[in-house]
Amino acid sequence: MIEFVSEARCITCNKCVQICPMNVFSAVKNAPPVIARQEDCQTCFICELYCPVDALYVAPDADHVSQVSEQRVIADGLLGSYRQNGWAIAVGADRPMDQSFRLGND
Amino acid sequence: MRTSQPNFFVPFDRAGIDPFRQRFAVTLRLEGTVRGTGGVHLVDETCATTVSGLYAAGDAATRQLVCGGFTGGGSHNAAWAMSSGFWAGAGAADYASQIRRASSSSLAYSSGGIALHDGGAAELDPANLVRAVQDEVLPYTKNYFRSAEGLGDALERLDGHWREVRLAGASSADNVVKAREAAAMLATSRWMYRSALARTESRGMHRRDDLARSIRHSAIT
Repeated sequence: MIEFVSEARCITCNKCVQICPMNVFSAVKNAPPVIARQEDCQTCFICELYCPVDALYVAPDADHVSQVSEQRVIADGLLGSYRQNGWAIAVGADRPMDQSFRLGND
Repeated sequence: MRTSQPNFFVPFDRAGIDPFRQRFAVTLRLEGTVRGTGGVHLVDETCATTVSGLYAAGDAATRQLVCGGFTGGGSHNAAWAMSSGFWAGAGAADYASQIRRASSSSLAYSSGGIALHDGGAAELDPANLVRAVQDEVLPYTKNYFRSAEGLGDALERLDGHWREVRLAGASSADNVVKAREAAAMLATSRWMYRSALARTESRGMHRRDDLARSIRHSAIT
C-alpha cells in the first residue's frame, strides 16, 4: 500500500495523480499531491515507476498500512528500488539477460 | 533469478524476507473470471464479438485463442494484451469510419442506468456493493470448487443485489465513477457465474466439482 509522498523530494509534477489507476492521489496547488484515498491503493507500484525523483514509497503489504517512516526507507536503501530494479534504462543496459527495458525506448 | 525477474524480489526486500532462506506466507488470489476461466467470445481477426460494433481485448477477451483452457502470467499474456489491443482498436476504428460513411447523422445512446438515473431509492454505497460481490466471488468454496448448487445459490444473491441497485438514486459527481465500477463488478460476477453454469465441463481453470474432468467436450464462454 502507498505509504508516503516525500515532501522533500517531490517536484509536484503530478504524474502519480494522473497515472494511478485507482485515483488514490489528489493534486494540491503549488504543493505535493496528497494520499487522499489510501484504502483504494492496490499496491501495483505504477506511481513509483512513473515518479521521476523517487518521491513515493509503496510497502509490500497490500491490505494494511505499514506506517514505515521515510527516514527508515532511505536508511534501508529502499526508496526508488522498484524503479531501479529492471525498469531504469541505466540499470537495464547492464542486464544482458533481460532486454525488455528496450520496449520503453523511443 | 534476481537478474531475470528483478521486480519480483522488491516486495521481499521491502518486507525484510530472504525468499531463498526464509519461509513466508502465501495467499491464493483467485482472479475468478479472467484468463483461463472466461472472456468475451471473439468471432474474427479484428477481435469483433457477437455484438455488432463491440470489440474485446486483453483480459476482457477470451484467451482460448492463444492458451487454450489455461493461462498464467507472462510473455504470451503480455503479447496477447498488446496484439489483441492493436487488432481490436483497428477493428473498432474501421467500424466507426464505416458507420460514419453510411450515415451522416448517426446517434449514440447511453444505455447505462445504475447510479446514473434516479431509481427512487437511496444512492448506492460503492464500498458496500464491492464487499457484497466479493462475498460471492472470492471464497474458494464458491468460485474455485464450482458446482451447480453453489453457483446457483451465489447467483440468487447476486441477482438480488442487481434488482436492488437498479432502484438506487443517481450518484453524486464525486461518487459516480466508483458506483459505476461497483455496478460493473456486480454485472461481471453475474455473467461469470451464468457462464460457469452453462459450461458443463472441467477444463483448465474452470473446475466443476459436480462434473468429471474432461478434455473432449469444450464450450467457449
